[in-house]
Amino acid sequence: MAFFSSFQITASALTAHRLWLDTIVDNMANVNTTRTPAGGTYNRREVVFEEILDAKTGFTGAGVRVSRIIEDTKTPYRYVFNPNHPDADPNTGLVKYPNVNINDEIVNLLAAQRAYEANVTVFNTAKAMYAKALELSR
Amino acid sequence: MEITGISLPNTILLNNSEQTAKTLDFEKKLAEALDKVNEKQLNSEQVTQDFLAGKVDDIHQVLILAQEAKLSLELAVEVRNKIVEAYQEISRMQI
Repeated sequence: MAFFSSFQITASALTAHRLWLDTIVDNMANVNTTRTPAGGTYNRREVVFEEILDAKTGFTGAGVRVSRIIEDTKTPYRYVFNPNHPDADPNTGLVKYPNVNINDEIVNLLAAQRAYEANVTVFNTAKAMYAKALELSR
Repeated sequence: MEITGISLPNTILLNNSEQTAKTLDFEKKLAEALDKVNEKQLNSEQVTQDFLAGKVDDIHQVLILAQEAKLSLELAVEVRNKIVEAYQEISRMQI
């Protein structure tokens, strides 16, 4: 049913933004991580959103998805002098901490929350429109 | 006079066959729509089960499917009400 396509579009947006939230949460959780399975300091991660095109028409939007999660290696790392730390540079005594800025992450968190809320509002509006359409027969 | 008498049953027959074809088509459409409503209910139930079992972790997916199932059912009920209304209208008709 075509009317439910708006529901599916909203669902895709909610899923994508939940993944964004997970990424932000992961960044904030690893704000002090100096060891990763890949080796070295944790790099902050960012999501890349991608539009989904409708399979039938090819030009109508059918929602959004996260195409990939990229590692941010451009933002400078945080260096703290602590020679006792096992991951400190033996020569300088500096520890390389992740390039996660808590303030930036909080702002992203708010943006993700607002985007999620906006999509929930869209869903409620679509639902209300459908319910109103059903009233036509009364 | 007799010739017109013969031609009349022919037209009635034609009309009858057309009407049965239409009724069958409507019945089929109605059954299909009900199947779709049923499918949505089952789908919603399945996703709810999966969510409770921890297989699906998107709560909005569960709720959206539940809403879809609810709204489809409401649409089906509205259509049913209309059909019953039409039936009652006909049964009240004076002969």
